[in-house]
Amino acid sequence: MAETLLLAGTRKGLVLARKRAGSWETEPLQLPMEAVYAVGVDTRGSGAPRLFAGATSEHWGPTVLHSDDLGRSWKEPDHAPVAFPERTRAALGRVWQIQPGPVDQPGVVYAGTEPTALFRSEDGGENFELNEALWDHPHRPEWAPGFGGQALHTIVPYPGEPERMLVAMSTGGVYRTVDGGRSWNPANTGIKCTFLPESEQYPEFGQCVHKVAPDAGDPDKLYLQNHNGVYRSGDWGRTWTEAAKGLPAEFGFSVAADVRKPGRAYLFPLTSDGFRFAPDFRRRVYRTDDGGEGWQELSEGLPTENFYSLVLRDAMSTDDGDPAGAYFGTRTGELYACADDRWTTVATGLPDVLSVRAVVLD
Amino acid sequence: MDDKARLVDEAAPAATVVVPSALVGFAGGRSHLRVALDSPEESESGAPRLPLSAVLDRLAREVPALERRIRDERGTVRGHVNIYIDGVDIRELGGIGTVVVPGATVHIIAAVSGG
Repeated sequence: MAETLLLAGTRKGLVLARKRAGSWETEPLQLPMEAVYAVGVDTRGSGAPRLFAGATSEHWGPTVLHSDDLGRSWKEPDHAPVAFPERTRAALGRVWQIQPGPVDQPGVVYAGTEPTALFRSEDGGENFELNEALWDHPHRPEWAPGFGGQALHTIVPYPGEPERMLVAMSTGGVYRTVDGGRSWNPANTGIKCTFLPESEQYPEFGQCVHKVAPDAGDPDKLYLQNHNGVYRSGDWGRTWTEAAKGLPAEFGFSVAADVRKPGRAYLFPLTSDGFRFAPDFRRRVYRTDDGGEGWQELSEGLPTENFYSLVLRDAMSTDDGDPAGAYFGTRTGELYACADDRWTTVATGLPDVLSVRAVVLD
Repeated sequence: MDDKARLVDEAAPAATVVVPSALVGFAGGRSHLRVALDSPEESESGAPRLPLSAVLDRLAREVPALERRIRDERGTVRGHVNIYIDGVDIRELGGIGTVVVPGATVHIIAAVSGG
């Protein structure tokens, strides 16, 4: 029977959980006292998937570790795997996202960081180089930090077309490249900035996009959770339309798409930016099965007592199974998994869950 | 001149870097590192000396996984790391340019501001 491996990066370390024969077992916390804002899984190799952890110590700084034995041990190079070149006069604050490249680009791994930047590795995620064009972008002086900091938190490679990629940042919004990262253009048409005067609410860039996820069936179809507002695109981000039908509220941080089933994605709505609680203080996930035409509640199995926490932007994910499972973690250290439309509690008592990824092992 | 940190040459003029317990694993298991201070730069007395930045540069060559946890890629001491030379905070001395003389003890300590 296949085993599922779940990675949860938390504010005080990394937690792995494994599902065998239908039940979850959580392992002791690793990387203690490191805030793991990014976890990643690279399944493109022939052996065991390579796991990644973007970890930050408040004292000793950030790093990126990898594991080739399913999380039993972790390695990193002696030198900093992600570091800003001298000319930038910048220093890495944190790695917010680790994204393996598409299947047709083995060895390519991307990292999104604070300060806002994109790094690329060609050796499987051990050494990264800065994307100069995005760093030197003329819009940079106007990319302001959100409450959680200013970061590049979403990286969406385009399968089959290595020259195309989409990234998202808070703030700044969505940017796309069609020339392999040599140039970048904003792609925020239709996304509202509710934090600007009414006459200025649809700027070319500057949106506080929280997360973008690609649809399994068509890479031109995207889901987007904004700072107030849920959107979708059918033209690879050239235009965005509101897609919140059926949701109790439109604020939130995370959106995750099923990697197998076209049209399926998940959200965890929050009431508003001024009231960052789940509607009715209930743990409720919402799912669409029609590409964002409408969303339905998917909460069976979740605890029903009052809930005052939330789900952060990278703390919701799906695995690569068929059918795919879904997962989310909360700032109160709860970790849940969904199979057959029912949620199971994987763990409680964890530190704030920051990043979640899962993979089905053969 | 070999500019690597001489961590085992007892005869060389050197300073001792005291490694915090959290970072001993990045120092090959060593809690104390002797860093040679021989340098073309000499004081009026002819005694060897190095600025703290150069001492850390020598650590970067010998134990880079340790040094990058003390300084970021700009060479700036991390915000929640305190460094003391013979018990005095380098902020009260010359900062990263503070001269380190043979026999000095350099303490690397996690600041409470970092948790």
